[in-house]
Amino acid sequence: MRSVWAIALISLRNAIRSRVVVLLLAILVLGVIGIPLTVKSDGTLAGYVQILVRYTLGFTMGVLMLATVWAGCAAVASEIQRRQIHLLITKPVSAAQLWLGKWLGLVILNTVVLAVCALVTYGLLRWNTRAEILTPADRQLLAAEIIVARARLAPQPFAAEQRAQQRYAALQTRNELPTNMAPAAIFKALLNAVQIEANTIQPGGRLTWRFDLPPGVSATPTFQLRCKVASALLGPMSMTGRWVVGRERGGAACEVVADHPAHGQFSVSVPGRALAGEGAVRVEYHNINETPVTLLFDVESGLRLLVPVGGWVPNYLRALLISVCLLALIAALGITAGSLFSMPVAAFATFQTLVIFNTAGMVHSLATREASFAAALPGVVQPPGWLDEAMSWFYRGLELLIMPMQNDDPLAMVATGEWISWGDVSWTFAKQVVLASGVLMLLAVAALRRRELALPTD
Amino acid sequence: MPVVEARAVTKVFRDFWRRPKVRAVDGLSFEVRRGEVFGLLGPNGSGKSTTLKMILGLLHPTRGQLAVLGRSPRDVRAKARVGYLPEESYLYPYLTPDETLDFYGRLFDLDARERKQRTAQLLEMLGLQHARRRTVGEFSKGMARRIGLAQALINDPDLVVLDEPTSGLDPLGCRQVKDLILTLAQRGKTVLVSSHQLADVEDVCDRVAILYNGRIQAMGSIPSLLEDTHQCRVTFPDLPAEQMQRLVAALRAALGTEPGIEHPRRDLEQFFLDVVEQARRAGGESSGAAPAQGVAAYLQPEAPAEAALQTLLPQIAPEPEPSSAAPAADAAALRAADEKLKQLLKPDKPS
Ligand SMILES: Nc1ncnc2c1ncn2[C@@H]1O[C@H](COP(=O)(O)OP(=O)(O)O)[C@@H](O)[C@H]1O
Ligand SMILES: [Mg+2]
Repeated sequence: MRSVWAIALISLRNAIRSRVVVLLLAILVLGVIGIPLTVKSDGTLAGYVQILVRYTLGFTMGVLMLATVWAGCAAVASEIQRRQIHLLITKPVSAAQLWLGKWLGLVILNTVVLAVCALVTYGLLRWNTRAEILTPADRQLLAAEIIVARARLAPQPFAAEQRAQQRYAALQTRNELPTNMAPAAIFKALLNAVQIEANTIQPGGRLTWRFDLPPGVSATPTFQLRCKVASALLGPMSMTGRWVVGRERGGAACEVVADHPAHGQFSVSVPGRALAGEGAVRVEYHNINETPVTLLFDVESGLRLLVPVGGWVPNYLRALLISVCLLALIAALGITAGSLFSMPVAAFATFQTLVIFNTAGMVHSLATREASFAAALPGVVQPPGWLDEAMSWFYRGLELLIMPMQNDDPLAMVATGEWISWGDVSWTFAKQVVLASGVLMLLAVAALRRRELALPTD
Repeated sequence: MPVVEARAVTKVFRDFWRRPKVRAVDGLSFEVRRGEVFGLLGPNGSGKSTTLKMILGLLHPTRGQLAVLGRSPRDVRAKARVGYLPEESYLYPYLTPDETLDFYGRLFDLDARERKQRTAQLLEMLGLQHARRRTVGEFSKGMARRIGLAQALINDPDLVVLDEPTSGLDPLGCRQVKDLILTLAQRGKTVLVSSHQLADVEDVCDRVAILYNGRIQAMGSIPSLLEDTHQCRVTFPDLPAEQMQRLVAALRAALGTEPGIEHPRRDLEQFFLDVVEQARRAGGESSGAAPAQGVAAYLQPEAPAEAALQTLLPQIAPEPEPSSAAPAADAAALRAADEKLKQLLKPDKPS
């Protein structure tokens, strides 16, 4: 451990002395000071908080990532190039200790820089939203909807696939399956229909959702329902709905009657006492509009329950921890690339890998393409072409590889007051730091042990 | 068990396409025994550094076997007992000597007290105390070389591998390194040293291997290699001309040929060291300083009479520090320094 720390310290000093890294850090200072001053927000309080937290810290992250790629690649590669490695690995230092030391140094550097920027950002936020300069309304908005950490809960899922399968089976027994369509396409259409039906409210009708609350929901004067709807009404029309919200057992339901736009997104505030009691939270929507209108809640994200869980500052901390995990992974990537290749190649390889990581969404869709629909159908065996099969496996493998990079932008989440759980933090830590960085370390160790480190690299 | 054992070791450097390019070492077999000073002697490019790098695990042999302290050269347990001075300085330029030695001490898992103690003693021994707050990057080649030497000794190694230890050092430094090697050998350490400077090897090595083109051309103890059993030299005080003539006549009669007669010459190195010593003594007395650290004279890189020396030999010594006065080199100081050195390199260190 002593040697790991010693190497960490040296790698830290090396990084600080690297011109590229110093240049990037200078840009960082300019950005942190400049962005809140120069970028115009939309004038709202929420917009200001967005800019400060999301863009300033997002910029910090971007710069730190670049600096980390560079410093990470240089950590081992330049040490080999300058032959300082001759004196390192002739000491009783294993390849794993060498890697760990370099990595730890960069993680410490990143953590310190990010912490400083985060502290400055927080100070700016507090100073520019201090009570004396806000209107009472803004002050209340800030406390209730902006500087908050709200869990965005999705309702309990309903068995759409199962229902679609039942319908498919029924059609099949009645021999009414269309013959000019592929079974997978039929199933997809049925699934679509089932989901739309389940989210549609006829005039005078009602719809019910159930939400499971996470532990740690704090007491609150109000909480929000976030809705996304569509209807047959065109233009900027508004309609009226009645909401009944309450726990399943031992509580009193609250009723809220509110006008809302007939299209798009809106929020409804519900008194906090509706959350008293036990069991799932039941939310009913009654379509009581005067003129009869059919309302459709978005199939993917029609209704979300926003409840406060803990304070904003702990949430901010968790977002920063998740960000550090990502930086740690990038450091690991860089150091491993630097252990495999010499300098410009290593940096190029790292950037290339990051680009591939960013195509994760596409890879996911390629990996899960259609196949699952066909598999879900009763009595339908579709022999897929071997090439399709192989490609699907390839993409699934690739997806598994880049899975560790997948997470929602934690800074965007704190900026919009969205709750990040400790579970998210541990999951990110597990996959990015323990798993992915661990695999990268093993790769580097294998390479360093095989490589003849005294060979010139240029 | 030999400390280093090489059996038919061959190293072929390949190019990017893995085509053989240079056969730097070719079927080398030798062993270095415990407690001996073994020299690899050879012209530039004969494969000395390549051999040493393989012994240190920095390069892997293409063929053949190598064992260091009974283990693979890449085993960390072997590395813990080895000290290495590379042919050039590969130190971190932004660290001071203190920080450098502390860093390498940490890699050997020495505790803080031990590191501090050894660092101070090594710097004192190598005459770099005055420069301990400067960064290694500003050092002259000779000074950096001394730091390299210090880091090679920080772990009190059983095997010391020195790649051309005297290159870049002034004659005082050379002498000091050679004395250091002898001290290490006395303390039971094994020393493997490469050089192309024959005098260095001759002075300190028990056995040498002469390399050329990656192959051992000759190997053995220095006397066994150099002794000329067909000639004999008799030494006696210089005689008056008339006595000498009689002696020569007698010899001529006995030998039947003309004997060669000449005055023995001191070698230049010894002469140089004597001159420096005298100059230093003179300077020391006149300055009147009585330093308490008791460092041996030859350990001090700065000598006041340097100007005189520059006419004799090219000057590659570390820059003299203006601040320090030349210490008096009496026998007691010498003994004290030697004592420190012994303490530092004591064979049974607590592990
Ligand atoms: N990395 C390398 N790639 C190719 N050839 C090398 C390499 N290192 C050394 N050589 C060659 O191997 C031979 C021996 O070199 P070296 O061991 O450094 O010699 P010495 O230390 O005796 O001067 C030389 O011809 C040198 O050019
Ligand atoms: Mg050499």
